[in-house]
Amino acid sequence: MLKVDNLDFFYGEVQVLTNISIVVEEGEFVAIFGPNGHGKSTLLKVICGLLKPAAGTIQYDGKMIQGYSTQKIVDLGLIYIPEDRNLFPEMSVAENLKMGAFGRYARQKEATNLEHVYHLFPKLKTLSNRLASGLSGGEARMLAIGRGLMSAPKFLAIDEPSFGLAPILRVEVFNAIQEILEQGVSVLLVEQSTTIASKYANRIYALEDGKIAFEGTREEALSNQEFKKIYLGI
Amino acid sequence: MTSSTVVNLVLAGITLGAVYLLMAMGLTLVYGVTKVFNYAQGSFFTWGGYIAWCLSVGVLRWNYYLAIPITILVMFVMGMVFQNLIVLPLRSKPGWDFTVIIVTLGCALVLDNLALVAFGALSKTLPNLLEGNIRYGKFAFAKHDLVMLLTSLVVLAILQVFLSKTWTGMALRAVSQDNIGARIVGLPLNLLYSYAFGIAAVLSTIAGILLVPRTLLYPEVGWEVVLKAFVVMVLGGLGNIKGTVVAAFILSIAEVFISFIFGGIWAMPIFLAGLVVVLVFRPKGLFGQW
Repeated sequence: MLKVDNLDFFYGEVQVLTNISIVVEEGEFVAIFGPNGHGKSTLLKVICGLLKPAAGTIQYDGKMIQGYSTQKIVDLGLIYIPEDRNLFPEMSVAENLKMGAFGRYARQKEATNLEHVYHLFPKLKTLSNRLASGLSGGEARMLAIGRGLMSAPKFLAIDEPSFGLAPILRVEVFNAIQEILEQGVSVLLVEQSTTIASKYANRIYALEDGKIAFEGTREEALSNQEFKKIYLGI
Repeated sequence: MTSSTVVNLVLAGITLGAVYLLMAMGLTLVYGVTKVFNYAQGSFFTWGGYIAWCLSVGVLRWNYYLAIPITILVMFVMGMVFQNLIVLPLRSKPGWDFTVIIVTLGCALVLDNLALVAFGALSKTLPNLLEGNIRYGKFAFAKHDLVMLLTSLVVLAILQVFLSKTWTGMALRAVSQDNIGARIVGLPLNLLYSYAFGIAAVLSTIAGILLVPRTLLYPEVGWEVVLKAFVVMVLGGLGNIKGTVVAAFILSIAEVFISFIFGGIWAMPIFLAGLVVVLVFRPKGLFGQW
């Protein structure tokens, strides 16, 4: 579904990503772990077209998308959900969700998708008239994911979905992701804390200093002493 | 100053305020959506006036009520083209947020001087939208002033409905609130930037058609209006709609009284001095978010 090959990215003179190659098969849940500031978010931003790579290719759904605008990539069903959430603060929850369905195809399925989002996050329905600026951290995270789902994506690239959330909310967010996966959506997720995500992910990459330091299935990761020591602290 | 003078002045002030509000809303919309302060908006006011003049009384002698919608359409396209040809190419350049200030300022000078070359320095005028006065006892109100007030209020109401109810209007608000968020959900940013400029050009043109019968039409007429709209926008607290409305009416009513008592040339100096004083104590404007 998604195949990134030999990707390089620079912020000015500083090389942030070096020779990154990753694969996400259709319907798969892939997690990328790594310390803060080692290029995880940058990688997702490059994939979704917010940043342009210096070298390498990104193949998505049979198309080379590394030169595409974010708008075009969204139209192909690849949605990025940022850690900063980037909600529209002076718009209501319902309006934020509506903006998620702006794309040509999404607009026709707005009502169905809205129902789906409210089913996943019932809290959002009760808050639908609240301004996004008045949401708590957990509610804002749900809205960010919900807004992404409004475009009926085939592929979600999620940045730190559980960062800064209370444990009970983390579980709620991961349950929602699980349900999204069951509908056949592929998920690429980056996280600092591996505890929850490593329970669910099919395959795992570790990103260190802008390079892929580990790659394998969940079982391989959990039986790899070095990986366990560095990322799970056990 | 008799009570009827006061009432007449307040009415005149409210009328003027509604027109300034149109200009200020245009500036605010463009600033919010594109983060550009568009100095050329005064030239849109002027050029809207000249195009209406050419189509009607000046050259082609078409019916004025037919000329107005055509002028509005032409200026909408001009605003979009301006964004696409001049502002958009700058966006990808480093330091564009400063460059664009100089570039729109330069465009304003070019557009004004083009008007000077094309139409000369002599003032033209546009007809009143309705001739005659309405009298009510001691009070007299020009029908055109009533049209100015009502048209401005209707246009502002339409703008509000557009921004809160339509896909495009909501997308414009979304872009102004979080540019990255707007890109992430796949909003067509370049098109929305163009719409913002197009709508601002239309608002300026409507303001021009309403105001020119009072101010006359000459190549630099837009400057004073755009500067006043700028004062309104800053006092209102950039992008704060309620603040902008209140600021527009305070300033316009102050302007009529200042002009009546001290003479018209004092309005602008007092505005700008007032702006400086307010910004010293409230740097985000009278109604800015704190």
